[in-house]
Amino acid sequence: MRHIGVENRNLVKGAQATLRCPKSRNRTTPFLVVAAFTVLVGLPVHAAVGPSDSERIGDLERKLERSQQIIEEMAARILKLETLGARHEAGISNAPPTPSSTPTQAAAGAAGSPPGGERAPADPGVGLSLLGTPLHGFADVGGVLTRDKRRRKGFTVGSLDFYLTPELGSNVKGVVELLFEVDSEGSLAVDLERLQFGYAFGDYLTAWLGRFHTPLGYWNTAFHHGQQIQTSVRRPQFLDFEDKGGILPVHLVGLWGAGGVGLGDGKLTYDLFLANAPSIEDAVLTMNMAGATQFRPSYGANIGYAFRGALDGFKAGLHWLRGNVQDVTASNWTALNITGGYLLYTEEPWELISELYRFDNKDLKGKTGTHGSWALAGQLARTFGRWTPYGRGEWAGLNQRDPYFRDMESGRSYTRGAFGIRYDLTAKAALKFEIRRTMTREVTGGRHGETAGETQFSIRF
Amino acid sequence: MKRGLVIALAFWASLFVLGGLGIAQAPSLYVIGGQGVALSAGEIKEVYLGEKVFSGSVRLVPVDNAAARAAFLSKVIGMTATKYESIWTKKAFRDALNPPTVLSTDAQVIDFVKRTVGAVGYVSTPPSGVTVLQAY
Repeated sequence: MRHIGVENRNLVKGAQATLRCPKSRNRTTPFLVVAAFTVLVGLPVHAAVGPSDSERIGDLERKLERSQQIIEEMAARILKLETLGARHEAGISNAPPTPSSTPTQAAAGAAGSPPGGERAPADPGVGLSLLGTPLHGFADVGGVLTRDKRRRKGFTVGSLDFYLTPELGSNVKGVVELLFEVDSEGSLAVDLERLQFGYAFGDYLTAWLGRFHTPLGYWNTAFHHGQQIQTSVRRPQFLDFEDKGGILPVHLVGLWGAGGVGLGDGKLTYDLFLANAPSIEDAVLTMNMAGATQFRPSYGANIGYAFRGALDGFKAGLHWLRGNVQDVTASNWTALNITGGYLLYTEEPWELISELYRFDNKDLKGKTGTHGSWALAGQLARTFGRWTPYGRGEWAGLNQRDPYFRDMESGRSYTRGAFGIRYDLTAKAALKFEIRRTMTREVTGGRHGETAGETQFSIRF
Repeated sequence: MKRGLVIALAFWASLFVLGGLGIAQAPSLYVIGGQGVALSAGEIKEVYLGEKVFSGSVRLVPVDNAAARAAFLSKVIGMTATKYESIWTKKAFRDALNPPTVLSTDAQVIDFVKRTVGAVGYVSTPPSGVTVLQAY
């Protein structure tokens, strides 16, 4: 028999006493059992646990619903085929339309058209097509109030814009845009706004030929006649259309190359163009859609960088346009030289659009040298649900010794402040109201101020 | 005893809460591609926003799936349907890019992707016979 030393005996006695103690036994053993059970069972279960029971049931219900939908669609198709077969046997010539004849938005260049494919508008509505080509458009009506006796006031009809975007193969596409608008005299004018056809070599280059929106800045190509996609009622005055008081050639006829490549975290975009130089006729810029008796080119570029990541939504760019402009009426020649840049932020709920234009135009006929002018605009908007208030400031300092501005009816320096609010009735219809104050420097040197309020109901389809 | 039971019950409760938060969840959305399509997660978003039209020389043909569109817009694109359609309206207007065709069911999307070069689509059930580009 082994002898146990005194110290060890005391330890054993102590351990025996602990085990015999009811409290400690009751505290320790059940806890150990439960903890062991939890570890053995709980961890593997935790590793496998996914959605809760209610989520799994919900998921199964959704799958069942989809299966029922498929069955119903197939039953409807079988019924139609049976009806078609029965009518054919009975010798009836007018067959009901088959499911494949419903309008689709399938890309024409795809290897096959998806059966039953349709455009799903955000609101109840119908995707339009014309002879299988997607048809889109904008329209606007409204009203204007002003104390300026020279301006018309009352209810107004704005414009009706149709545009087709045919895809004529995997790489060939076009834009055909027809505009009906009421001019400042109340007459209806029809304009072939865009007629351009292009070949897409890849994301890096699409080459266009035809009449297109001049790729200067951001506003002109992003919105143009798309009133519903534009936050404000009006665009900046100096960016307005040639026949509405604009001082820039916002339409060109010629060649346009556009594309983008990834650069760092963002994307570098570019536009290069070569087109007919515009002319000034009866104090209004015109783009020479049929060319000119003496071809004069205008050319330019727009280089931009769209940020991603932390600066997602920001885009900055530079633009440039050069061309010799003839004033047919006043027999002047001006070398138009526009440079500038833009800065945007278009991530909801904010929208910031700012554009700067610097003119260094050279008087070629009168030899009065080069004249500098500036124009800039900045608009800030913030969306709160369906409401989007906005504010815009514009400033144009146009040198009147420059024949380009002097010969143009709208070539006067001005400042404007505009405030407005937009309410989205639906995703495709908006109500807007804008108040603006414009101070224009007259030819005589005096100033003319005008305050106007304008409302607009604009839609897209 | 009581303390041990309380501790164990608390541990079990925490397991169920964490499970409910989706610590371990199987994918519920699968982006699939047709022949000639190889896209990263970032590129998938670019395709569906009209920023990427070609994969090499292959013209990409994205399609929407009405049955899974809400989940796709939430998980992959990160925007509402209204904003998504607004972006495509602007793309069509400026760049003559038409929005993705909308198909009704997973089966239609899978069928389209199988027979269309450059097709990209998304489904909510694990597909077979097509390449899964990303699972969410």
